[in-house]
Amino acid sequence: MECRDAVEIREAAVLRLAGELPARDGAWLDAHLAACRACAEDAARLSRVWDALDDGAPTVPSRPFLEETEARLVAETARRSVPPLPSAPPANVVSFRPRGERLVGSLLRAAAVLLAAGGGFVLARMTAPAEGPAPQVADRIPVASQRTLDVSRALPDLSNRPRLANVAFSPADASGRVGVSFDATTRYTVVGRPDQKGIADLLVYLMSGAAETEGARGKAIELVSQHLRAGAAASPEVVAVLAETLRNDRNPGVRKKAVEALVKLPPSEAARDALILALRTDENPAVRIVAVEGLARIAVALRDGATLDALRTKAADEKENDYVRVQAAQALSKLEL
Amino acid sequence: MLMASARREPEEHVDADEDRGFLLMVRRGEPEGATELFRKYSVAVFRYADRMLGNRSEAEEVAQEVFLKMIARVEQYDGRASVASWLFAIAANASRDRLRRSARRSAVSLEAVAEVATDDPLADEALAVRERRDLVRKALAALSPDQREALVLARYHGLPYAEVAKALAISEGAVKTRIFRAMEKLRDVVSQGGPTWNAVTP
Repeated sequence: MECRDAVEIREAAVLRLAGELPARDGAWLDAHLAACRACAEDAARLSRVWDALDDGAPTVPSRPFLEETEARLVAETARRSVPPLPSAPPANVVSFRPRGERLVGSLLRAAAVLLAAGGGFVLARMTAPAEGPAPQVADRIPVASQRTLDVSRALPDLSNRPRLANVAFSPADASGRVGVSFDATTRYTVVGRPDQKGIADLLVYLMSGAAETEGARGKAIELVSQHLRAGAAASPEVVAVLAETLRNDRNPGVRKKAVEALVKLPPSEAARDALILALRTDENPAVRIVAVEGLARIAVALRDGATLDALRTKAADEKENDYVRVQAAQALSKLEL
Repeated sequence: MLMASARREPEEHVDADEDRGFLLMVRRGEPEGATELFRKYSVAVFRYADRMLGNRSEAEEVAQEVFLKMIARVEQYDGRASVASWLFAIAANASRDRLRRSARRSAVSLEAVAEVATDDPLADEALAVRERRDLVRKALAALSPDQREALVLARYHGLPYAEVAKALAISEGAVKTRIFRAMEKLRDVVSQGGPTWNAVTP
């Protein structure tokens, strides 16, 4: 004969299985189950059903689906992007005389010094732009509160400026020129392609910590990364800055951009070590996802024990994000074919 | 008898603020916002659709549709539900549309999916596990779509009833009722599973 409270008890039993039973009802349910054999058996059946729903080896989407969809999402989202730089320089462009060989002490070296110094901001001295006679165009500008510099012609003096405020970026125009703006003695906008030395150095400088905000650091990394994708070889300094950022930056978004830039680099031990460390220790799953994808590619090229061990560990880690585990397992299965 | 709560931990590492940040990036036209969310939730959304439709190919189509709609409808996200629940809501609607359009009954295709999940046929235990999964798949397919979607979200994706309610645009009371009815029906179907069922789950 069914207990007169059977339905209510079954409802409570299902709520408990789903983690929805209020704590105050737990003792009441347990007391009833201890005293009523019929309800206890019913609850046990429901519990077995709940357990049996665990399908053990759930299906995973195919790699072509993941790759194709991600590409479509990038294309769709990019259509919403902001307007590009104006093709013509703004009216308040200030022309500087070319500095040529007088440019000494690159920002890139400054970044390397910063890293070697363990975070101390010791800036290599940059030669200030030649002031000389004011260019004609400047005569037409009453107050030069803003200056736009073509990076092929001039750079502002950044010595004694370990941090740059109000850094902003303009998206690339049709010829691939980006704009990097910041406040120094005045508001500067440096315009050029990311593969031009002045811009590249400025970006490395910003991502090594000179940018005041996380957003600016991240954007600098992104622009460097885009430059790397264009095929330019990465210098050891760039790899070092990216690895350092991946290890130590507190912002997961910045670390994510750093790891994305690293995985685009040709396989190297330095990049591999940084990725393995991120895969093992980074608390953010998005960072680990990129790291495991990068290691999967590196594993094919290097086939070294450290990479394989890191992938095996992740593939077997039940607490890890499913996507990370699947990527690790797929990489291993390809290597073992 | 003491019954332990068996709520599954959320399949993905849900960070509500981070997810909203990614969605904001999508609004601004930054592709990485979309790719971040895709990487975090593509597997979960795919599995949800697979469990609803019982067909991997269709599940991938639905999953792609979900993330494309995420971009197209990003302005409509009002922040009342988590981003994960919002994505599941889109997935639930897309799966329902598929089920309505499909002439096939899901039970047939769910059996086909079960065959994909084959383990070593020579191992007795693996065989028993496979048969158990077949049985559960068939039982799940016997549920109404309304019951199945509520149960799948709560059981497999670890969503609290409140989030299931938001994802399916129903009340929490309705979620409670649907899952309860689903469990009763599953109990009836699975209890007829015979020796395999009893052997695997003593």
